[in-house]
Amino acid sequence: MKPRKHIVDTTLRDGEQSPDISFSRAQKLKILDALINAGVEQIEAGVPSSNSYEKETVRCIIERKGTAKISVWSRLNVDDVRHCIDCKPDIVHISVPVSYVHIYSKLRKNKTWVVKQLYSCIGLLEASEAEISIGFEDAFRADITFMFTLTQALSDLGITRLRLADTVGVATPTVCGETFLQLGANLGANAGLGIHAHNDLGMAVANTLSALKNGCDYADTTLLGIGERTGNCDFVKLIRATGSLFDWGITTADAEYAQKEFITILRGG
Amino acid sequence: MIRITDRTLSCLDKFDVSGGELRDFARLLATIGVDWIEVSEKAYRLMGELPEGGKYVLRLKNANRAADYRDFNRFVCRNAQETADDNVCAEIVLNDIHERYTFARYSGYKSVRIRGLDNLLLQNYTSAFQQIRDPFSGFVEMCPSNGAYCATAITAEWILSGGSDVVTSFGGIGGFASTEEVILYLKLQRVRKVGKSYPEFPRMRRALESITGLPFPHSKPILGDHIFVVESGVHVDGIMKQPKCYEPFPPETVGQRRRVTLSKQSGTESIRMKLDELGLSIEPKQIQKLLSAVKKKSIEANRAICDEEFISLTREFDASV
Repeated sequence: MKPRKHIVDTTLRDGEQSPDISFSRAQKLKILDALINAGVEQIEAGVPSSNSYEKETVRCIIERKGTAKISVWSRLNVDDVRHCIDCKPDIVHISVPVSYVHIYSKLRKNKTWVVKQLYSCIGLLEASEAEISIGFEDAFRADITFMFTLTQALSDLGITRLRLADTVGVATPTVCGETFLQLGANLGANAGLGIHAHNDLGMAVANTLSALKNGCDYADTTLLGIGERTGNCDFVKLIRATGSLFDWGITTADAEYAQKEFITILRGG
Repeated sequence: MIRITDRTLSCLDKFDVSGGELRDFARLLATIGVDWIEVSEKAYRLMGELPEGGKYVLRLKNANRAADYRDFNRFVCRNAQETADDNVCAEIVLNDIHERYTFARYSGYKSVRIRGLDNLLLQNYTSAFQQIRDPFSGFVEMCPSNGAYCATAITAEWILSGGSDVVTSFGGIGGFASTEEVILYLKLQRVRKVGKSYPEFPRMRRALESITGLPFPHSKPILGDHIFVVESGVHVDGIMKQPKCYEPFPPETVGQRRRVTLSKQSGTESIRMKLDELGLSIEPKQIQKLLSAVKKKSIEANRAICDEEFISLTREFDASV
């Protein structure tokens, strides 16, 4: 029996960061339908703090979600988390910068600040009904010992959903596999690990596959692999390449049909 | 020592290509750090002469015809079982690592090329690499196919496992690992000393597009013309502070430049960067209002807004612009 794995589609969030792509609310709802019909179980709807139009669109998506779980994306920022809670999603995903270049150069903060901010955001979410998912941004250029510290904190708080992002697409399959094994062991038996791969060196599918072979259960994808720069792990390519190894609950034909519908939506249909 | 054989010029036989175009491309390949340039017999006939600066491999249809080509001292042939010419590399096509029983036929060869293995990463690739190396005393080239979208990754893992010879094609033409992806991997991982930058990549992309009539996707790794276009406010902010935050390497490394587009996802840093790019300035207190106007227009138009539209919006806040 093939191991069960799960798609977390982020076409509506990260996919829209592609410079030549912009979705109207109506288009997003059609894409949502296409993904649900294909059997995608979790759909990342957007960033509620981005602007009021986006927040209202996320609310519309949540109203229409059917059996799919809807997650929303937040920076490591309590104000952003509040916008997420307002939308009443199934899952709030908080992206936590973990590499030194992100902590010290982008945020201009330090590791202590990151840990404190993480506790503040999680504290805010504990009063809501949403499941908490934590993402380690730029995990494959990060100090593994800092990630161990954070996973221990998450474990103590009872948080088991953790996603590792290869933010600039520089990981390789062996590095991916080893990192998932190490952090998965630290998070415990109930860990729900996810991978968010970018395709800068053409390895997004390969890195996702390697993560899945080493304890990861959730794979972030986008239709046609759209996304910032070179894009994300391509939904159809991943199902095609790994369908013989994993049970996705989605057939290749269903995935290809969703992609076909997506192309029609992009063309204004 | 890691050696790259680029096989682009043996993948173009079905296209209407001139000898001049092939020679130009060979000259460019010689500048980007590939060690050997593989050409087909047809390509060699069209080229007439081989440009200086490169080392060449000829792809033979018949291994016994190597002696007919005195310009070459290295050959590769898919049907090489019947020759004992030490200069001919036998290309062995494997769909699956379990087909390695065929290796016995090639035990006398000084060099072999393993082509295929699209699905290798689904299996235990570390032990598979060992099973590939063990039967051969000479050198073994790895030429993975891209049917499972993993050819560059297999090439990288072969190198990490100690493999020294890899076969690629520019842009992945023909369904192989992309030469430019492997070169950037080697550069970023500091696995091999490679060039500082590759300003000729865009020219090579255009040359190949002209030959094949097939444009590369805007998002094609390394080559795509939109891969350094930044839209999200979070990313623009990060890049303004430190480009490494959201770029694996500087755009100039591969002959490109960074551009900012404005949309409903933009932030104040995007506005500042675009004003700088266009040589404009407005009162700092107006930037937030200008951002709101940009987002509103982008939502109404359901697309990013162009420079002319941005200039027009900016004038609404500052008539002197």
